[in-house]
Amino acid sequence: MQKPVDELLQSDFINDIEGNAILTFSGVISQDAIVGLGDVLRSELHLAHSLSIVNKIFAIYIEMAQNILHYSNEQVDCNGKSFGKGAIMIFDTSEGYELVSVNLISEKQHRYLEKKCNLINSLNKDDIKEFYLKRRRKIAETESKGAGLGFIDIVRRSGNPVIFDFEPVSEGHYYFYLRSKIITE
Amino acid sequence: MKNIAIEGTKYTPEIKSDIQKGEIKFYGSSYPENANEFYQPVYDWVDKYFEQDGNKALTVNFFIYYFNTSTSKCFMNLLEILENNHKKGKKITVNWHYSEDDEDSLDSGEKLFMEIDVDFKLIPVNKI
Repeated sequence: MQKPVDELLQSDFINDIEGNAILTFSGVISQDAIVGLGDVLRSELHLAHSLSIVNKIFAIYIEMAQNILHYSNEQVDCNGKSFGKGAIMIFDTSEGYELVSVNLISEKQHRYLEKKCNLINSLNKDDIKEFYLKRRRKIAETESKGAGLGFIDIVRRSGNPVIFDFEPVSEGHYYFYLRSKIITE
Repeated sequence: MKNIAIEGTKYTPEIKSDIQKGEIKFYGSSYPENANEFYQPVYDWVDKYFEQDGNKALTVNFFIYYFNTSTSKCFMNLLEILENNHKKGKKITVNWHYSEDDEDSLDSGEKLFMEIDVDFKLIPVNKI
């Protein structure tokens, strides 16, 4: 069900990104895959940027990738563990970088994510920081893995709203596309 | 009770305690697959440490250059445990070490302590 990278690169959702893909991956996002791709990303970015920028982009990558690992609606069992399927693409653009994640979601997740992304995008920079701290304090009291905090962190760190879209796949299933822009120039 | 001794990996920090010195130290990067599960032994260790007679002070040293959002939730939990012990009269000191050239690591440290009532210091270091 997961789309191959070639097909994703042609998708309407990202065809306005002008830049080179420096990292693309579509498939099973295991913790090992996240760590390995993260290493590649860090080494690539270190050549051109300060630690502060490297960490910012790395942090957004981790939140997107772990989001797929835990919450993709397409899960694969491997040695008793469950891993999500999805795609991550990172582009080097004239302004900086764009990170894209794509994964399958359910009807319920669709409703949740649409509300969540619209809410986060409606907040200004100061509000988003405050919202993040409040949310963190609140979820510290729950057993959740941190659902929702990752999205706030992506917007907080990038300093830009997220671009998102939902593509219907079949009854009750959608592809969730998420884009985050980091301006470095 | 035993000391805690967890070796570091690329995505989990080294965690070592020294009961004699009254210290627990975190060193490295933290984005485990399941942060709640990873940090549970740390909460248990701290609870046990303060239950023991004579253990009245604890210094917590963080040398963490990156942590993900689910880890930040766990650090909040840990700080709350420390805050509760502080209220009971235990002496708690938390040192957050950050790289001088990484403003995010200072910022994330500051934010962690904003709402928690424990003594903490933000200490710049050359490189973690």
